[in-house]
Amino acid sequence: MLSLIERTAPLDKLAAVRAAPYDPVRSLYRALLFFDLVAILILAVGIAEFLYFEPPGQGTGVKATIVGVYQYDPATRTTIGPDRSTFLRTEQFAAVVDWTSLHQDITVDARWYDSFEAIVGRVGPGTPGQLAGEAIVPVGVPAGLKHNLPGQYVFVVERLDNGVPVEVLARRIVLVERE
Amino acid sequence: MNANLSLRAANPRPRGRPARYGVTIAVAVVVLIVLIASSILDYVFLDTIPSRTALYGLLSVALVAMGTIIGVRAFDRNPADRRRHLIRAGVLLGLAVLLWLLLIDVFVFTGSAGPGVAAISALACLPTTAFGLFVVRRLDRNEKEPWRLVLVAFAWGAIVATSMVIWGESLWSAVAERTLVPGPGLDASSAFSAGLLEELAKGVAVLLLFLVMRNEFDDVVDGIVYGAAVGLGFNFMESIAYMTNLYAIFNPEGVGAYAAGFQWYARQVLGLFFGHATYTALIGAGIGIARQLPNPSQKVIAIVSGFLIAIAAHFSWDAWLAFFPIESSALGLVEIHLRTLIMTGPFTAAVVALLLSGIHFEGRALSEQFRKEAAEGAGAILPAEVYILSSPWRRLTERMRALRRGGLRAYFALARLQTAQLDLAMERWHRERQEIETPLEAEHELRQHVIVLRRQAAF
Repeated sequence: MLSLIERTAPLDKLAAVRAAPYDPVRSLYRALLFFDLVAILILAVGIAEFLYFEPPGQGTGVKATIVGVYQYDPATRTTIGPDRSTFLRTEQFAAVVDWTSLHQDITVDARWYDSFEAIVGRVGPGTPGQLAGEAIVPVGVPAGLKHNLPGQYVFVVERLDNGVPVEVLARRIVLVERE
Repeated sequence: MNANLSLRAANPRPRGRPARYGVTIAVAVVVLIVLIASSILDYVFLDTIPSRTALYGLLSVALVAMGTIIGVRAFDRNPADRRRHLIRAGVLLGLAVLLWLLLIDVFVFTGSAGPGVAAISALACLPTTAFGLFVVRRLDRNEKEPWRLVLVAFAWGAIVATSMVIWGESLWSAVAERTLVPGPGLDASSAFSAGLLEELAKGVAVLLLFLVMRNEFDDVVDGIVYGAAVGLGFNFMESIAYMTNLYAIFNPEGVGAYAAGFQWYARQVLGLFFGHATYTALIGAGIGIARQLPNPSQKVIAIVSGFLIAIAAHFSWDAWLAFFPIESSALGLVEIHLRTLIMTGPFTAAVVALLLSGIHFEGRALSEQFRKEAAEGAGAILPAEVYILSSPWRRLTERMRALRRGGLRAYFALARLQTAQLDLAMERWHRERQEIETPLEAEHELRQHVIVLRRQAAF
């Protein structure tokens, strides 16, 4: 063993040389660091997931036109009355989209999400030309229920890339009241 | 004698206040600012009677200011009465603050279904949560944490933490819903919001206990106990909020009670120990391990790690819940349990592993201190008692023997003696590891206390 340090004590006192005492806290600390690595991996996967579904640099600046959200008559498949932001649970409603305002070379769809983020109404996907006959996008009452669930409903017109929505071209939020 | 004791002390009495008190004040100021902001936002943006009540949150801030003034004035009074005045002022103001925040919470979280449903929901959650707290406190087999601190931790989780996160999460959600594409990306964003904000708000309680109540915060076991208690408090208030909200949503369809009942089972039975209790216990484990690490940088790493693990655990549940859909058939009942076991089980297992290791480590260290104290012959611990004191089961057997021999009085006398002996061993252990600030006189006082208790118990 080579050393540049001048030896100041004889090596015949090996009995005095002790290994550092075992400290179980170090084991706990190491276990914590291992769990920490797993946690960092989970959070990294979470960030990757977020970036996959919300990829940066996808903004095209294209804007869709939502004409309005109206009360809806499913029998005649037409809208009734003025543009509104709140509805009763017993009222059916639908958004009206002006598909002609969009370029024809993109793939789009339109969706309604309820307060549980479940899709409760949808048209598309397709090009704006293909969807021209589906300007009215109604909200459907979930299976097994008599009326819409109360809460905040979000309507979005989305641009899709390889089947994955990557950009919101227009958005409306309406409230379905409890009473 | 005192001079000799000072020389022997591992950590002599520090001059001035420990540096950690500065950190405590900084954390308390941040918490206070968040609560003030929450009160103002409640008032400005929620134009309802309950939200106007939130303005009274500012009154709680005024009460805190008053408490500070009283606390400062107490130092001008007779020093003999100072401590008593300070404790009274602190307890009264603390209760006032908690009560006001509770009032706001009750309005904000349960207003949707009315007071009747809120009261029934709270009553339904009380026994299960009380059971959870009882179990969590019993986890520390050697030195149980005082009920007052366990309940303070619980109250923080139920009242303070929920008040702190409500506006942060609402704001995050409002921005995300208006800017992000609905779907998995938005789900991931919401999960980050819940994981980050809720774990930070809950973890602050454990951090403050670690900074202020160092004597009652011994190791990883204590950290897990306090953390789980905070988590149970948060889970209690969140359960009531979800039960009342879903009742209000589904009641017009005739299934309100079923929706609320399902939430109760998912959060108060299935998720009692698997959800928030596990997450905050992970923060507590990190802080508890930091308590016994000698290196300051390692302490910081351990605390940050605890928070990171808790945030990741919470995030994974919220973000990936949709990957485990539940069928609406009988099979769904099995799937619900499996989902919890698969998604949160590994994190709960990590807490259990750290807890068992901590209990084992603590038990061995205390046994060693019992032996050393008995060998010194001071009379606080007798050689014959070492074997009994080293095992919680043998301690209980001995107390039961005392009960049969001398009734309840003898039982409690022995219980007090055993607790004091454990306190002494714990003090010795921390001093040996040089992780204690109290002077050696404190250990001497503990020893004398044990001897007095032994005389009183006439053993």
